[in-house]
This record gives sequence, C-alpha cells and structure tokens, in this order.
Amino acid sequence: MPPDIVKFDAEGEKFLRSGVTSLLRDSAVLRHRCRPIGVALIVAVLAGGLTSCGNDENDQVSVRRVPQQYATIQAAVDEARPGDLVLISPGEYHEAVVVETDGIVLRGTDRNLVVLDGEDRLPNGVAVTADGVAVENLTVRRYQQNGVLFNGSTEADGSRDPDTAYGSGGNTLDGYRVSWVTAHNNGLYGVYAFASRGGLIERVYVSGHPDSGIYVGQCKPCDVVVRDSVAEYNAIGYYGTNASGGVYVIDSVFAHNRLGMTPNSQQAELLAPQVETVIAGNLVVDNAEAATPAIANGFFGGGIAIGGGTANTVLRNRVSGHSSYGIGVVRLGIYTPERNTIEGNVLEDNSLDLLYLPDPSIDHSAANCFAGNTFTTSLPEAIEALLPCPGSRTPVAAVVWGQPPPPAGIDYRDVPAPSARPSMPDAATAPWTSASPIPPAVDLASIRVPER
Amino acid sequence: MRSTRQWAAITLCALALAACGGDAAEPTERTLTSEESAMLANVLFQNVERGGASFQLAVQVGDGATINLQGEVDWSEHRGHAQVSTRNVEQGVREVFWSDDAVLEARDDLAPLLEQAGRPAVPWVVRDPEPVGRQLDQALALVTGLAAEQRDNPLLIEQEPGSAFLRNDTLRRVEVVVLRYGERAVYWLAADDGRLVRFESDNASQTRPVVFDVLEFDEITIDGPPVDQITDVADLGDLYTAALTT
Repeated sequence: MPPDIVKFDAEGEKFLRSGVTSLLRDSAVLRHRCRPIGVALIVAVLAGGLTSCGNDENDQVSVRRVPQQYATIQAAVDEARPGDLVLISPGEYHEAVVVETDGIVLRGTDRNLVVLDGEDRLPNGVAVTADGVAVENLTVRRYQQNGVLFNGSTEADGSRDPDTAYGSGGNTLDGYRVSWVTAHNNGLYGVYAFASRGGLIERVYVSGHPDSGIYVGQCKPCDVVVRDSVAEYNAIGYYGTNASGGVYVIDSVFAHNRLGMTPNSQQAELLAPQVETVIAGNLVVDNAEAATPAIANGFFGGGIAIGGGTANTVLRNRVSGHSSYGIGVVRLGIYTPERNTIEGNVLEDNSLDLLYLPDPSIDHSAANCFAGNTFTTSLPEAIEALLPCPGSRTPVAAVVWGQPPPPAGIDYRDVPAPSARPSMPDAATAPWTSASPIPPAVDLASIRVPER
Repeated sequence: MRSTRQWAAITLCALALAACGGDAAEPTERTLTSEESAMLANVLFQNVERGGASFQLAVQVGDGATINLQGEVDWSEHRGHAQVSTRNVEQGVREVFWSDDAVLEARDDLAPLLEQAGRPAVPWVVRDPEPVGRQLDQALALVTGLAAEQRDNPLLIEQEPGSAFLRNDTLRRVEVVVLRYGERAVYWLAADDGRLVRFESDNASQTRPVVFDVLEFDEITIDGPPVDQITDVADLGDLYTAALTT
C-alpha cells in the first residue's frame, strides 16, 4: 500500500501513514476526515460499499459513480467537492475532463477497461488546475495534447518573476498524484506536470508520445517522485526541463525510446537552469528505437542525458544498448553541465558508455564527477580518473564527439497500443485520499542496480 | 492619458488594418485562452495534415523592394511551385519550383545571354537553396516552413512574451480570430476549425513585411518540369552570375 493511501483504525477513524500526517496540518484541501462511525464503515468498505464519510466541515465526502449516477466524468467532476471520489466504471469516454476543484480523486474500476479516448480531436484527457487531485487506474489515449496534465500556470497575470512565480502566473499547483495509469498515443506528453509541485507519479505506463512519456517541467522546487513506472516507444522517456529540487526518478524502466531520460536546462521555459534531480535504480535500455515518433531537432540513441543540468545525481542505474552513449553529461544550448555526480551505474553494450561534453569554452570538469561505475568506454578516456568524485575543478581537454543524423520517425498515432497493464488492486472498493503535496520519502541507500 | 494625436494614430492604424483585411477590427488585445493557445499549437501541424494549399505571399524585403509569389505548396513533402513577381530584387525570376534541397528557376534574363553565347535555351536552372544569402530563398523557406510534424506546446505559447488575442475579424468572408504568437508572428485562424487563413510576420521596425494568405487547402502534389528541361547551374558557368547582375 502506498504511504499516502488512507487506512482506518479499529474505531473506523481514518488516519494517514507516516509522512503524510502533516497534510492535515498544512493543507486546507486535505482536511476531510471520516467521523468515527465504527464497524459499520469498515464493513461497508470491505463489502465494496464505498459511500461517503464526513469531514471537518460536516460535509459529506461522496463517491460519485460514472455512469451510474452521472452520464459523463465531467458531470461528476463538476458536482464533486474536495475529498470526493469519482469512480468510473468500464467503458470508453470521449471526453476532455477538466478538474478545477481541489482534492478530488478520479479512479477507474479497471485500468484497462476504463478508457478516456480523445479520438485525436480532443485536447487533454484529464487537465487539472486544482491542488491535491489524484488520477488513478485508467487509460487515457489519443488526445491531441496530453494524457494527464497538471498545470499550475493558470493565472495569466503577466508575472514572470522566476523567484516568485511559476509559469506566467503566481498560482502554483500543490499536490498531485498519478497512479496505475496508462497513457498512450497522445500528441505531446503522456503524463505532464507543469509549474506544479508536490507530486507522485507511480505505476504509470506511457508509450507512443512524440515529445515524452513523462514530463516534469518548470518547477522549483518540484518535490516529485516518479517511481515504478514504464516509458516505452516515446521520443523521450522522461523529460525534465527546468525541473529542479526534490525530483526523484527511481525504480522505473525507460526502454525503446529515442532518448531514455533527460533532466535538462532550456531557455524556452522559466526557471532555468535545471538543478537537483536524482535518477536512481532505473533500467534504461535500448533507447535507440527508430520505430518511434521523432521529436523536432531530436536526439537518438541515448540512455541518460544531463543536458546542461546542475547538481544532478545519476545513481545505480543499469544502462545498455545505446547507439550514441549510455550516460552523457553534456551541454545544451547556452547551458553547460556543472556539479553532476554519476556513480555506481552499470553500463554495457553502448557505443560509448560515459561522455562528458561541456561547452567548448570549458576546459575543466566544472565539478562534474564519475565514480564507481561499471563501464568499458568513455570520452574523455579514463573518465573516472580525470573527473573523480567528489567533484572539483580539474582540467579536462576538449573532446570531439558527434552523432549521425537521427533516423526518420513514425507518426505517433501509428505506435502500436500497449497490452493490458496490471490494474490497481480492489479499485472499486479501496479507500481513497486526495493527493499529498509532500511526496513519499525516498531511501536512496536501499536502491540497487536493477537486473536486466 | 492619451493625447489627441495618439488617438488619431491608433485610429489610423485601425483603419489600415480594416482596409487590409477586415470588416470589424476592434482593439481588444488580451491574454490567450487555453483554447486559443491550442489553436496556435495546432495550426502548423494541421497544415501538414491537410496536405497543402494554394497561396499568395507578399514580402517587403527592403526600401521599395518586394517579392510576390502565387502558387501551391505541399506541406507534407516540403515542396512548392509559384509564379514570381518582384520589384527591385530578383527581377529575372518568372517561376520557381522548390524543395528543401533544390530551387528550380525559370529566368527571363538568361535567354539573351545564352543566345549571345551561342548556347541553346535553358527552360529551368536548378541550384542549391541559399536561405541565408538570397531573399527569394528566404521567402520560399517561409512558405514550406509553415508546417510542423509535431504540435506545439500550448502552455509554452501562453507564456511566450507577446502572445495575445488581438481581435475577432473577417477576412475574405471567413470569420477569423487573430492571434499573436510571441512578439512578431500573427496568425489569422478560421474561427470554426482553426485552419490558417493568413500569416503575418514582423521585422524589427514592425512594418509587417510578410503576408502569407492561404487561398484554398487541398491535397497538393507538385511535379517539377521534365528532367530534360533542367540544367544544373554549374553547367552555365558565369552566365548565371551574369544574369543575376543584369
């Protein structure tokens, strides 16, 4: 059970597991709390009889069923109050759902049979601009833009102060969760968190996106954990432009994309440069798949690319089968990488295992460091001796590296749909809770290099 | 408070815009809605989806120098064909075919030079594009460049400085919404389905030197002239350069 799923004690009092209790103190949107109605509620939950429970304001937190009570998901969402569960039964729903109410949980009863289908004409499957919203256990496909979007940049007030504002406005989205969701063949991203912080993206499967499967961008601090997820057959598996602070991408699989993972800095978004992402325990393999959609000005054949990022940690990943390089610490646009740590990774079957490629004007390590990796080839050669950890300013001669033009891609709509994925256990009856603005703690010491 | 002179200037600008394209131009600039930014995100992708179009392009490239094209563009294959009329620039070119890697010209100014040199007529000259050095080629690249294999990101469009809704308008009896993307690109999009009706771009002096009009969308296939009518520019020696300078 994930740590932010609610549990009930013997008296029927709902409580939250470690790390999330502070929400009750910190977050107004998450104040709903069941009254101690005892055994009756426990029996109701166990019997699949999710109905409602009280909150601090003496309102009722309700289960709103689609289509039994509401013909459309949007109708249920529009009626929902903070803390409510919108429970969706199997079917195809041709809707672009917009969620503007805090603390709602959208859940399908079957991940593979509850399908939001945009038919290549609707914008986003689920577009969230409210705090504390969770999306669980459903499939979202064929939208023109994104499968699931969390967007905190909704106040177009012209404010662009990166110290105080996220996006074009000051309205940052706090708290979001995506669990047991499949997103495929959408026109931009599968799961997209923009100008949002306090997130958990777990057990998602994303494929067939011409930009990236999972995108976290323009946030500082982001405070997001991406874990136990799979990204395949996208242009990029994980894309983290200007996603800084408290970003953990762990224990996931990035395979058969054009580029596996890339925390990076770009001028196209606010809050550059990107800093402080941890990439740990991931299986990053064979990201040199031509039968994928090609991102504009794209890259091909890379495992993990730190593109002009700062103070990132790439730790104990298995990286293999890449035609350009396994792990690259490289310049991107005007940004050159600094203070990144590449440690304890296992690299095999890559054309080049490790690469350090700063701006040509940089003749030193810029405190980037490589240590304890299992690898065969690097550029510069003997990279761990030249750029040891902890990082410091050591001289490094310029290297010459290039890659052939990327192969043509395929239309994102032509990427085969994925097979069925594991569904959330007991989705129709399991308790629910709003998304926490504080992601679960990550124990990096317990993360190991995954097996192939 | 605005002075009377300022109000007069604004009025004149509005009149000029109305004369250029619209029946009801109101100064209603505001930030984009998500629907409007999505229209901008889709428009160049839609051009590819629609295949191609017949078009007109008017470019002011300098003081008294203009290039006008009327033709067809295949956005999926990145090819075009146009009749060319110019003033004070590229005056020898009558007709062009082009792709990403070649420009074919029919030149009126080449025939007398060839005759003088005792060489047979050359209906078409093929050469590499020179998008940096030749303004004609910049215009051609702009036409085929109004296409994208991937949709743009509406969220980034919304926060791009300068992006704005300008007004609702009517152009060639089509209800349009006029949107600015960034500081210098203005799109006139059909209100009903978002298709491109007009594209304007600005230069640093904000004189709107580029106006591209879609006349009609269609599946366009562009076949060049017969191969036996095409001569490589390298085979003409100095005659081509001489034609450019006449």
